[in-house]
Amino acid sequence: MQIQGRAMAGTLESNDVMVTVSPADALEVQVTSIVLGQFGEELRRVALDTAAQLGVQGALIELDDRGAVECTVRARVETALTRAKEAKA
Amino acid sequence: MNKLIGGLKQAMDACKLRDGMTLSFHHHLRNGDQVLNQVLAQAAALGVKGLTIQASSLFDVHAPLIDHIKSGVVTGIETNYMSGGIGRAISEGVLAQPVRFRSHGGRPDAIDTGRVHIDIAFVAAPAADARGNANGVAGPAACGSLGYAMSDARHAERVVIVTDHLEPYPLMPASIGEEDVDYVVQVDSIGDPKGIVSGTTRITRDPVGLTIARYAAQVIEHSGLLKPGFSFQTGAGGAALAVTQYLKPIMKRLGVTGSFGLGGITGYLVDMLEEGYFPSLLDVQCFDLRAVQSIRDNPRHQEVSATRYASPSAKSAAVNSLDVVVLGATEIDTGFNVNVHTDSNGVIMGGSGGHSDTAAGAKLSMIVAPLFRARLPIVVDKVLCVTTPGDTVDVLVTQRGVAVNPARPELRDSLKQGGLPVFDIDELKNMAERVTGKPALVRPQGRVVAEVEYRDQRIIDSIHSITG
Amino acid sequence: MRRSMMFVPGNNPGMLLNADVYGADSLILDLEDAVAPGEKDAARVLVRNALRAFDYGSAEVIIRINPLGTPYIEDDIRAVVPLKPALIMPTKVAGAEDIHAVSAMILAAERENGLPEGSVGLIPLLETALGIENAYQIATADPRVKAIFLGAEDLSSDLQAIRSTAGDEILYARGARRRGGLLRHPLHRCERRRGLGTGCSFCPRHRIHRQGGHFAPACARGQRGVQPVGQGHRLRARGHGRHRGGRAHGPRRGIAAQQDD
Repeated sequence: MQIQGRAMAGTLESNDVMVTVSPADALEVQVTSIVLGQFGEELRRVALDTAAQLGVQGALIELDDRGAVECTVRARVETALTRAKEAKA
Repeated sequence: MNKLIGGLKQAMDACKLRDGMTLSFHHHLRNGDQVLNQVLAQAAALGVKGLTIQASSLFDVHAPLIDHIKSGVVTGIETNYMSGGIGRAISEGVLAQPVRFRSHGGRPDAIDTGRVHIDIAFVAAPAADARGNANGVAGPAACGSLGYAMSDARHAERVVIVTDHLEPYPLMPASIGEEDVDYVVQVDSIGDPKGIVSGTTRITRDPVGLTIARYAAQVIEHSGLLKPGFSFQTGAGGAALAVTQYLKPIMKRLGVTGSFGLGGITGYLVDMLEEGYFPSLLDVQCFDLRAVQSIRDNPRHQEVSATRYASPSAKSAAVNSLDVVVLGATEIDTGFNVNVHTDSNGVIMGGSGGHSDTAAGAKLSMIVAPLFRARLPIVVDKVLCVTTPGDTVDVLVTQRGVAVNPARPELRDSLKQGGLPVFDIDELKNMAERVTGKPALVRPQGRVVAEVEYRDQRIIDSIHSITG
Repeated sequence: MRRSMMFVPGNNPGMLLNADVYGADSLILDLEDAVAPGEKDAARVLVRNALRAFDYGSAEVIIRINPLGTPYIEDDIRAVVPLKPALIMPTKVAGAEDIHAVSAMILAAERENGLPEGSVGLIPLLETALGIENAYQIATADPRVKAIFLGAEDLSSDLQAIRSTAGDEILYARGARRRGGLLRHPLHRCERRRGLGTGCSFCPRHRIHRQGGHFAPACARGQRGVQPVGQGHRLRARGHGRHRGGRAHGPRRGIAAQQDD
């Protein structure tokens, strides 16, 4: 899948994560989180895995996390990437 | 003899304020307090250095303390509670000497027995007369009980009443007596009423909190303690307060009238007093306006000193007559040890307050908490700081079930028979981690920035800096 | 038995996470009114993930989808059918032809996913006067239809009536559904306990419209709503209130009178 433009998904509410994706040459994840010490690495891993499962090879994925559990992170990353696929560059 | 003195500077001169002295303060004006800041500003202006602050609690309003630490005016802090604003600075290592944390019972114990020596007690008083009789129920900054000021007034070398509301002699009632007071200083304002008491404290509206409260009331019902003469204390957090709403219909159904409510008093306990669930309230601190009005107007709602409330060296203390206490937690470990000193990253943002005292004294100590908060499970392998040792904690109540300390098998059986969802504490931990995932361990590695002195005077834990 | 049915906004992770805390009999995961138009896609993915990850225990899972005529319904059905919810709740259902249309879309999705044809049930939401009039036809339009849900708030708006605790304005609607042989609508108006004793239902849905399309659940109210439901049962067992098969009072006679017109 190729990212065409920038897109966002999710909110800054508790238990959610705001995901912003934009085009990039390779896959990169940047994480801000209220539970960075406890789940920072996990958030990165889940975002990368979700992108890989969608066949995305190049994107900058930024997470602003408020304690989202794994299924929420996957949902928001998937939605953002899908929106970015349809967005104009 | 004229005790009425022109201002804080004159009071400090009269008291012969010197470098290295210990100054004490109570926290009944909470986040609306202006006295501690005024006193330190004046001390700094006089060039005094190396002071130790002996405060029953510190709040975010006391943030100027951080600058006084950096400039050397303050080099030591001893307190029972420290909110996050100052706590973070301490965790970052701003103070060279470790903070000494005690509890609301341990502090008066140390003062009464002379282990802690106070040079000057600055006692903020919402109302006072020219001889130093003082109370907390009159004046624009009325705060209710002055329980945490009493040992200071009794034992400090010098006692300075700081008030913004003078009344004619003799002030009645008098929580602090003229026989202990050296000087009386009148200032424009001792505190901001909005920060002193909340207009009303509110129970939680969150379904998770209400479910926890409902289970907690059921635990009390099946504990065997809910019978005539029942006594009860609950914390000021949303779920803890909500327990009162579920407890009342159970008490009504069983026809139980208690003997006393204790605290930390909010309007909800006042309701229980006025509605006949308890014939009396013992009050070491008022949290809201209703509590202030009640302690002023209702003879069945009485102020108690911190010594009488919880001191381990008192001939007897109220916490030891307590049946049930409901408390909160940042974390609890599989040994039932509870942390309310730090957040989940080990940064200071609390302290025992009365937590360890009431847990030790009450026949049934209950921790109410959600199974996880913002992806962090409440149950951990080992808490980052032991505030309250696990052998004084009986039950953990979450929205998904309760865990009983293995040392109380008969209680566990009772709760199971009562239909409550009872689990091992490890099972609750696993339940949480199934939803959140297992958190990586975060534990500060720097030097010791605080020591936790338990009621029995042992240092039961230390808190480390998050920086070097 | 569906004593209490709780709407859970489909785009809200915090609420999906804790949806079973109330102990409601049914959870209605909402892709419709609780979700802003720009977030329908996000809600579908979140609800899908939530159903796979969270254990809602014994609660019945219902998914409310967007109405026919919107650009969302096809994607909703395609996303929802593979999740195998207990029921799907189509909205703004006006007549039997709406059920036929939705049923056909579901059949296509069942086939695509290798699910037994007809396995997905429906609990259509009737929320307009026309829907109420056609209740019998809707109920009998397709064997998929297992129950009918009364959207009293929208119906009252459609009738331009004022909602009341006693619920007189929706009496006819309740009777209409009963004639269709399908019963049990959940509770509305959970704030007032007295209203609950007369057989009302708990449903914070009215919040959606008060807030202009976005869900602001009345959490504590939900809790208070569930408890009196049991009381409602006890009252009905003693013969109070309106209910099928029992000694119903006044309102039932009113409906019969209308039938005789």
